[in-house]
Amino acid sequence: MKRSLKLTHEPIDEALLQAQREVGAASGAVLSFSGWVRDMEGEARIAAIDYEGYEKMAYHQFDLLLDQMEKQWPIESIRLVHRLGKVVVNEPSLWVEVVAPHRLEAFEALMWLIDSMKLKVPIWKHPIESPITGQDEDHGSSYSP
Amino acid sequence: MQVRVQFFSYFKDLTETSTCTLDVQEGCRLECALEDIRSRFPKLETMRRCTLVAVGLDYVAKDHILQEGDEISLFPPVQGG
Repeated sequence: MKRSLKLTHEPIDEALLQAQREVGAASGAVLSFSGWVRDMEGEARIAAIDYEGYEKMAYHQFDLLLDQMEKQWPIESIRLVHRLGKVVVNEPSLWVEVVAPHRLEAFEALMWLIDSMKLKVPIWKHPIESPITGQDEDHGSSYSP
Repeated sequence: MQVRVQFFSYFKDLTETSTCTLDVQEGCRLECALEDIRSRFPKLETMRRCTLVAVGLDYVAKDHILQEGDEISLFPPVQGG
């Protein structure tokens, strides 16, 4: 199974990643997933998430997961990019591509990998809340904490 | 013997440090070192149930026997993906 793992502080360039795609003649399923930062984290409205990672261990834990994935499904290749640092709302923080002979193993492996990374890979989210601005209608004043 | 301890995410806030060293006995199990760490940094006690622990780059059991120079990492549940 070919594998490519990258933790980066740079924006994820999905168009470039797609342009670099390689698919073998025996593969009929190409899945890609990207996870984007939403504007809510729990009850709080946020402007961004600052991703902290223990990089050495994250790479190692990703490798262990991919070792398991390779044993369980006939995957041709996996490419994964995870952001570190500040990612604003409506930007991708994760991009994963799985290439496999058939869609069943591609979907199963991709879901399993994302579920597993949420349990094992040492990356943490530090939400950055939106600044709150508003109008006090009774007094006609604006405030920003 | 000495081991290195590092903290991640808000554990750094709880301990007010990102790293420290710990003197432990030869043959010390991880669980003993963790008790020493919690004594030194009492605010970690409240996070006992949701603390993940690694030695080196791997998650290990609490009866793992530490070696000189080992690096113990403590952190809250991970949130990648």
